Amino acid sequence: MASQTIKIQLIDNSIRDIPIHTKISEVIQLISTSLYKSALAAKIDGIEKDLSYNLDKDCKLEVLTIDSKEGREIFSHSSAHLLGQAVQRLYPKALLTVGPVIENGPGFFYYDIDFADDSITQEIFQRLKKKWIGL
Amino acid sequence: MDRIVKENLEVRREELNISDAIQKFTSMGEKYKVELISGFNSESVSLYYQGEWFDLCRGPHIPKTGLIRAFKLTAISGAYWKADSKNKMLQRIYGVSFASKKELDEYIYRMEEAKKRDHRKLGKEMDLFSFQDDAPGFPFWHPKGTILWNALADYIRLECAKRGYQEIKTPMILNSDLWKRSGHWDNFHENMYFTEIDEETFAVKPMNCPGCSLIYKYHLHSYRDLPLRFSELGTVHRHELSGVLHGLFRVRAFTQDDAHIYTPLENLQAEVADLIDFTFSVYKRFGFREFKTFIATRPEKSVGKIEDWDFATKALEESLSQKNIPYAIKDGEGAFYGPKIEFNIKDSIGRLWQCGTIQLDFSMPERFELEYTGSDGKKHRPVMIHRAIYGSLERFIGILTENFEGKFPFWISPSQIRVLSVSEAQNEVSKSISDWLISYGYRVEVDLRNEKIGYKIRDSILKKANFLLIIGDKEIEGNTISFRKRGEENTTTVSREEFLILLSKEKES
Repeated sequence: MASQTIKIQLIDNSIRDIPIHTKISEVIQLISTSLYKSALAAKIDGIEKDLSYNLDKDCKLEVLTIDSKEGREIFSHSSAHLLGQAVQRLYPKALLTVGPVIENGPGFFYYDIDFADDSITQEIFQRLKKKWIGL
Repeated sequence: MDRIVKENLEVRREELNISDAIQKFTSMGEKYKVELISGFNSESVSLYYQGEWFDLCRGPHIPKTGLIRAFKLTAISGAYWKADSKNKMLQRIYGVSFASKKELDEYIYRMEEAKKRDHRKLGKEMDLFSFQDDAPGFPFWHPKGTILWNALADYIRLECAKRGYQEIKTPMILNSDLWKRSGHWDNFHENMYFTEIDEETFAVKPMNCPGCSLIYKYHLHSYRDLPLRFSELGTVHRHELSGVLHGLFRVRAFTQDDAHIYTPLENLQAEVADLIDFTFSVYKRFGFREFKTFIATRPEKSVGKIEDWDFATKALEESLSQKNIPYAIKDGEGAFYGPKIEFNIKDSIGRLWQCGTIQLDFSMPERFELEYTGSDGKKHRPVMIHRAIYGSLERFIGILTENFEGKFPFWISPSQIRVLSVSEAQNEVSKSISDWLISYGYRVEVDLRNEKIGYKIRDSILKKANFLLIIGDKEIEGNTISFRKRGEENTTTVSREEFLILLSKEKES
């Protein structure tokens, strides 16, 4: 069966024909290697998607990098995950709650964590402290 | 964290139906996640995996952990689960992250600079202003701060006068009926302060526009009088929750360099164009060179006809485009009564501050039945423009303090000149030099303390005076002035006349 193609409209309004079920990341690779390297996620018809998302119909594609507000938020949000993972690696009993991105505050994101046993928190902080900014 | 970044784990999304997700998190004892999922109103949720670990998340996420090349934790605090003090106290860990070490270093530099420049700290060190428990959120302007405040006021007054503005003053307290008519009663009530006079409710003004419109309405106007430009250094009071108060940046009382312009619709664009030039010329006078400009458009809840909104928004857009000023649109972020231009200035460490606005208003002329007689002899409704350039004098002084790190340019500096006597023998002459400079309108302090000159110089540097005058026997004999400019090591000796010329040049720069 001849492979079906879909039309991808880029932000400069140019159109690319690509095989259906191509991943967003693969499309970006076709457009530009440097863009591929800095791509974090994308907007498909205005809706934010992972780069691993499979494109299955004609759509508008906007690549998000850290230079856009949305890209910056996604980067920060992924960083909150990194923090959550690091905490649970150090202390598997820690329970995670929410880890949002914030606009104003002492950081770009936070994670609210229940360390269950309060006595352990000091130790965790000592270990995390190596990553502490000296402000 | 560095290890996870180095592992460069692939980030994968997985969809799971609600009951499976609940089961999965329950088996791990992740009770908070279970509680979150139980509150969702959907059939499935998404999980994001990276290596052995996963989290409940709507996404999207970056494709690989290795992209986060620089990561720092910045703060820690306590926070209740679901922000409810009846719930368990959790540890909130804050962080920042960047795509490169260089960006992190720049961020740290900026934060350290910002800390050094914090206007609350400098305000105390330089004795500019204070906040006291007896009036939380209401600044006390000390003598030096008042000098700054007045310098800003004098400058804007002069610039307004050059452009045909007429200055007015309107009452601080006005009857609640007026606030009902203006719409503030309905739209701004929780930010207003109230009082009672003769058993009637009055409000302390949170804005100057209704008072100004009463002055407009006091006389009949012809199209020949328009545009009418009323300026007012209007002190307003707006309630803010105590938790959000922040030095001069967020206060409960401040003075706007306010102006209200009444113009026929057909003159709108020309007026806006002049206002844009005016605004940038003020920012440039303070040395700002980089700006970011926005147009905020019609919000969902709005008053007035759609075609008026479209016309007004277009007028703002065209005024900026014709001057080749780049702008971005803030969709739906205008006030309910009209679109506006917002001006942001970039400070010396790269931070953006929103300052001025040009706000169009179709509502108030309607509500107050403002009119003018057109060339056709018929009554017409003017458009009203609210505009401020500093925004608030208090906030602008906070921004200037941080931008200059307290080293104010000569023309606004509260400590322009400090006269230091080398020893007691020169006290009398030092005092007379100080008086002589004061008579020319300069802001002068004289230090006659019986201290070593080295100490007096160091102390003056801390006070960030623009000029230090060091008066010893040599200066008295030669009838000269030896001065040192702020930030310079060398001392220059000139005649008194030469010094006056030098100061008058400094004033203009």
